[in-house]
Amino acid sequence: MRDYSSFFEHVGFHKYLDKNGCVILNLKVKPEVVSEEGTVPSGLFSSMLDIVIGSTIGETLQLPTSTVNLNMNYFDFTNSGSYSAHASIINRSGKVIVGEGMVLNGEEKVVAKGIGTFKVLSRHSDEKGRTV
Amino acid sequence: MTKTMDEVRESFEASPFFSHIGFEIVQFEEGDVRLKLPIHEKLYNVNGTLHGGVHATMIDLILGMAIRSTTKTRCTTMNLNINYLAPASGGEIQAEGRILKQGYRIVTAEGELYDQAGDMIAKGIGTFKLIRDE
Repeated sequence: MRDYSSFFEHVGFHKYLDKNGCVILNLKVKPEVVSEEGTVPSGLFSSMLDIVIGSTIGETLQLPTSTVNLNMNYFDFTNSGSYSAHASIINRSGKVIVGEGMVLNGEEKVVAKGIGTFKVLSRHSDEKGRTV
Repeated sequence: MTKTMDEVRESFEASPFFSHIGFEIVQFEEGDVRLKLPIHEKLYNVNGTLHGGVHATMIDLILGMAIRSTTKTRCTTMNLNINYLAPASGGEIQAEGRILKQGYRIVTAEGELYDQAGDMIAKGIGTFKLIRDE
């Protein structure tokens, strides 16, 4: 599994592969990442969906990816303390991959759902996604 | 309860997540809002560029600011669609946003992120629900 990004650690995500080889992303909500009202900022769910869909594609293809589009729906921002996310690939056409993911709260209720379009980068891409 | 512009601005700045990421409000007038983010390495993805979650967070925030500056009413995101146009690393990025359509409960807004050279790096459109005290 690829290394964690610094943003990943800054927010406090934890990623692992389950027994079926699927990427699972967990978040235990820290006091510094909540909103003024104590709810979960939608940006956290956006980040989870971006990471879990991108990681699922990257893990499946063993290649780096770059996000092209993300479309997300949010259902509940009540802070349940911990969240998990998983994703699946729904279409591949050349270097363009479409995946979908969902974020669940501690009671396994879906709180956000997203669909994302990602571009697969060359294994020899530089840090900006350009082939070198 | 309707809040003043200063109270609304302070409520954004009081969010722990807002300061944890490092956002700074540049302009907060009715219908004229701008936000900036100095890019630091803690916000990078594995490719060494700004993480896509940060783009989404910043667009979500600028749309919420645009809506609250006009309606003075709290709102919650229902849907957000982000198009990623270019990577960013180093310097700072700025966000602008505006309302496209305002109903009694549902508001649609759009916003963009620009890098230090003024090039657009992301564009988003979002649907928000106004939380009215009734």
